[in-house]
Amino acid sequence: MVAISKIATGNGHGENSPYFDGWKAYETNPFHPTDRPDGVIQMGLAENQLCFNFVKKWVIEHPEASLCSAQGVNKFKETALFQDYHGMPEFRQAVAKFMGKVRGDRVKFEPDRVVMSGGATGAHEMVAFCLADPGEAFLVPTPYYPGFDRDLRWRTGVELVPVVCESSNDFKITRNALETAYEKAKEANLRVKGLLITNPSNPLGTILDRETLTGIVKFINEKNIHLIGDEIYAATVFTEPEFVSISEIIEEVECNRDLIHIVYSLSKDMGFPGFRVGIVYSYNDAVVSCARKMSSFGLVSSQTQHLIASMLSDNDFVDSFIVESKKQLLKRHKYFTWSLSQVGIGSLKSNAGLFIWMDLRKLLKEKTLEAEKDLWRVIINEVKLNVSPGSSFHCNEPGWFRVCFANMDDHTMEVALLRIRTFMLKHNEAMVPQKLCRRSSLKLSLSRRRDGFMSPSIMSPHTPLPPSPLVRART
Amino acid sequence: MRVIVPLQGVVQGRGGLVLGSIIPCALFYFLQFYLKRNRDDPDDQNESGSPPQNPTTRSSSSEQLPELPVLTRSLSRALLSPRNPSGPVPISTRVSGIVKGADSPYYVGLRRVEEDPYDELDNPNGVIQLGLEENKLSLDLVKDWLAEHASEAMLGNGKELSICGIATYQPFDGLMEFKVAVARLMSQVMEKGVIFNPSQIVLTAGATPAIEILSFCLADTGNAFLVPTPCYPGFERDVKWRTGVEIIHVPCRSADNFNLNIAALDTSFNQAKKRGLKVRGIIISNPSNPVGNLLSRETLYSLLDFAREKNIHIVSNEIFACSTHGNEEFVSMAEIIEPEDIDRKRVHIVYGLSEDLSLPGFRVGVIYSLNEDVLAAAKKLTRFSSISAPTQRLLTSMLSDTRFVQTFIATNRERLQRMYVQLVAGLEKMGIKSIKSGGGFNCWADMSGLISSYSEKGEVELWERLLNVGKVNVTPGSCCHCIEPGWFRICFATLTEKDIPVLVERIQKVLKPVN
Repeated sequence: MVAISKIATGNGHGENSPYFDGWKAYETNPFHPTDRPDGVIQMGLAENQLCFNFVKKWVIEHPEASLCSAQGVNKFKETALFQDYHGMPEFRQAVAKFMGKVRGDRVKFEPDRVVMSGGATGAHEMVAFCLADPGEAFLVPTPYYPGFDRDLRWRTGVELVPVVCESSNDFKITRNALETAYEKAKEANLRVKGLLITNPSNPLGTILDRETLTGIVKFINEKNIHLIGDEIYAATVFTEPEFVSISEIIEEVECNRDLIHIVYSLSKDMGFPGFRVGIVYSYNDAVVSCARKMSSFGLVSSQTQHLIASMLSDNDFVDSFIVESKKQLLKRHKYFTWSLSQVGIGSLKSNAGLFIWMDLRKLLKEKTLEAEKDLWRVIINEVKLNVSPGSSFHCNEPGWFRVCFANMDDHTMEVALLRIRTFMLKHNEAMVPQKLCRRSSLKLSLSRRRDGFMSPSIMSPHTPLPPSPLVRART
Repeated sequence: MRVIVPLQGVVQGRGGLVLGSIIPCALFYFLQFYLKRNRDDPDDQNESGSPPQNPTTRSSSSEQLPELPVLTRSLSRALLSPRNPSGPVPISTRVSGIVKGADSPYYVGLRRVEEDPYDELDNPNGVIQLGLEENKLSLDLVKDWLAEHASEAMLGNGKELSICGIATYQPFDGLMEFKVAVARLMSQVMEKGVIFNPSQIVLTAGATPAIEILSFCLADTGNAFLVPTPCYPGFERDVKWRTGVEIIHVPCRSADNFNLNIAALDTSFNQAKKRGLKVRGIIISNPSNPVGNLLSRETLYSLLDFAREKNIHIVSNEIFACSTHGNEEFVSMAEIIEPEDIDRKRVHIVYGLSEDLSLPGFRVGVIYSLNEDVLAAAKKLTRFSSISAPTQRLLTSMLSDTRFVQTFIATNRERLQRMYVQLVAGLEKMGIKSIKSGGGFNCWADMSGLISSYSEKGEVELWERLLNVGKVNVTPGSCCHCIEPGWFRICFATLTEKDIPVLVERIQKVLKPVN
C-alpha cells in the first residue's frame, strides 16, 4: 500500500501524553449540569470565559465592526480580498497598542514588527523554524506547557533541553539551572540556539521578577543565543506583583536586540482562542521578514483582523476590559484557592494565569511518577475532574497538578469543589475544619452561561480522540 | 552528496576513462565541500544588518519567491564549531535563504503596482495589475448576500449572539457544520453527482497550508514530488520551503498545448530514481495554473494508472473548479476514484474558497482524502493553521443558502467567460496568441515572437519594457518554471471591461518599436 511520511506516522504530535489523556476521558463523558451531572468536569483547558458578557455587549453595540451588519458590509469587498501577509495596518496598530496597554504603557510596540500566525501554536512553531535548524536545540525551564513538545519540535526537527527548576525555591529559574542545562546540551553535542521562557508561567501561574529576567537577559547575551518570551498570559496578572515584560528589561539592561522575540496571542488574555490570533513580535529585522513570509501558512482571517482592529482601537473598552478581566480572575482565584485550603489542599502562590499549580504531594503513596499516575487516575475516574498531572509538564517532582479555573461558570465551580471536598473527606488525609463555609445557595446560574458552554455539542478542540489506554487502565 | 556518474564517452580508453572519472569526481567533491563550508557563512552575514522588506509593499500571500534557493537542512551536530560568543547572531538557514528572492519579477511588479496603481478616473496613467490571481468580478454578489442576511450570518440559528460558539476553542480541523456546508459546495461545484463526504474533509487556513500539510504527510525530507510545468509559483514555498521536500519539474510543451504528458512523467520518475531521489507523488492543478487546461477524463485515468504502477500519491489542486468558463467538461479526481477502490488511498484533493468564492482574505482551505491515515495526521497538523471560528460560522450560513450558491456559480462563470473572451480578442488583434483556457483567471499568452532573444533574458527584458514603458504588470513564464521562453501569464479577473482597450493600447505601444 502507498506509504506516508514519518511525520504523519510518528508520535511528534505529542497526543499520547497524559496531558491529552484527560481530555479524552472528558470527551467520552463531559459534564452537563442537567443532562450529565455525573460527567467529567473539564479543568484541564486553559480557557478564559470570565468576560464573555463584557465582550458580547461590545460586539452587539458595534455592528460596524462585524462585516455581517448593514453598517459593516461596505467594508466587505476590501476585507474579503485582503490576503497580504503584512496584515491590515489597522490590525497591527491595534495589536501593538494593546500589547503596550497590557504592560501599563511602560513600553511601546511598533506595528511593523507585528507578524501574524495561526494562534500561539503557530507562532511558536514559526519562531522555531526561523531561529533553529533541525538537530539544534532550545532550552526550556520546567515545568512547561506540554504543547511545546509538539509546537517546537514536531515539524521543525528542533530538540528541547529542560532547565530543571525545583519546588524548593518555588520553581525559580536560577543561573545555575541555566548553566547546567547549557552544559548538558553541549555534552550531548546539541547546539543551543535559544532559551524559551513563559512569563507569566504556564503551569505555575507565577511571574518572573526583575532580577530573574535581568539574569536571563545577561545569560543569553553571554551565550549569544536567542530569547523567546512567551507572554500570552500577560493580561491575566490579577494582583501584585506587577507584570514585567522582556520588552521592558531590554530598555534597562544592555542587550543585543537581535536576540529578542516575543510570542503573543489573544487566546488567553482576551478569551478568543477560536479566533486563531497568534503574534510573533521580533526585534530582529531578518526574523520579522522571514516570519512574515511564513505567516502565509497561518494568516489571521481578514474578517477577524477587521473585528479585532475595531475592538482594540476602542480605548475605553480595552481599559475597562483589562480591569474587569483582572477583577474576575482575582475573585475566582481567591475563592478557588481558599476553598481548597479549607480541605487541606495547598497550591503554589500565584498571581496570574487561568490555573493553579496544585500541591498533592502528600496524597501520594510514594514519591514516584507511578504514584502520581495512580492518583491522577483516581481523580479522573472517581472524582471525575480532568486535571493535568505535573509529569506531563516535565515537572521533576511528582505530586503537582495543574487545575484550570477560568473556563467554567460559578455553578460548575461549586460542583467541582464539592467533589474535591467529598474526596478529601473520604480519604481522611487532611484536617477538615468543623465549619465548612459553603455558598449559601447553590444557584443554578445558567442564565449567565446559557451561551452553551455546557452544551454537549460544544466539543473540546481535540474531538474526536481515541479513548485513552491510560485512563482505562486500573492498578 | 549525490553519486556521480563518471563522465563517459568524454575520455576514451580505459586508463583515460578512469582518469576522466576520478578527476571530475574529486573536483566535484572538493567543490561540494567548499560550498558546504561557505554555506554556514550566510548565517553570520544575515544578522541585524539585513534591511527589512518595504512594509508598504502589498504582496499577495498566495504566491511566493519563485527563485527560492534550495535550502539544505544542515545538521548542526556535523557542523558544530565554536562560535565567537560575541559574534553575529546565528539564525536558521531558512532565514538566510529568504532574503535573496525579493528581486524576482513577480515581487518587483507587485511593488510597482502598489506604488502607482491604475485607476480609470484618479490615476489613468498608473500601472495596470495583471499579475495578481484574484477574482473581483463577482464579489458584489457575495456582498449583496451579506447585506441581506447580515444578522443570521453571525447568529446562526439562535436569536442571541453566542460568543461561546465563536470565541472558545473549536475543533482545529473545522466545525462539523462548516465541513458539511463545504462538502455540499464542492458537490455543487464539481457536479456530475459526486457526493463529497464531510468526514473526509480537513479544513485549513487557506490552500497554502493545505498543500504544505499534504507535503509533510506524504513525503519525508529529501523525497520529491513531480510537478508538471508551467506551474503555480507558490509551490516552491508551499511544497519545499519548510518541509525539505524537493520538486522535480516535468516540463510540458507548447506543441502539446502544455497538456500533461504521462511519458514525460515516466521519464522524470526514472531519472529521479537514478539520482537516488525517491518520488512520493505527483502534484497537479486542475484546472491548471497558469495555463488553464482542464485535464480530460482519459488523462486522469492514465495518471491514476501511472501512480498505481509507481505506488505513489496524487495531489490534485482543484481550487479553480468553480472558475471554469467555456464549454469544456471539468472532471474532478473525485469522479475517477470509486469509494471501494483500493487506489482511493493515494488520491488527495485540495480545494479552497479563495479563488472560487473570491474570499482569499478569509483563509479557507480544504484537504479532501479517503486515506484515513493521511486525514488523521492532517487533522493534527491543522493545529498550526486553523480557520477562525467567526469566519466559519459566517460562511456556514452563506454556503447553506444553496440557491445563492447556485446563482453565484452560474453568474461567476458567465462573467469570467466574458472577460476572458474579450481579453483574448484584444491580444489576437496584436497578433498575440494564447492557449485556449477552460478555467482559472489567467490567459497564457505566447509572446515568444516578440522577445529580443529566445531566452529567459529576452523574456525578462520584454517583461521590464511592458512594466516600465507600457505600465502593465504581467508575470513572465520563467516565474512559473516554463521551459520555453516568451510565454506570459496575464490575470484578467481583476479587470473591468473598460480596462481591456486601455490594456491593448498600452501593450501595442511597447511592441511597435521591436518590429
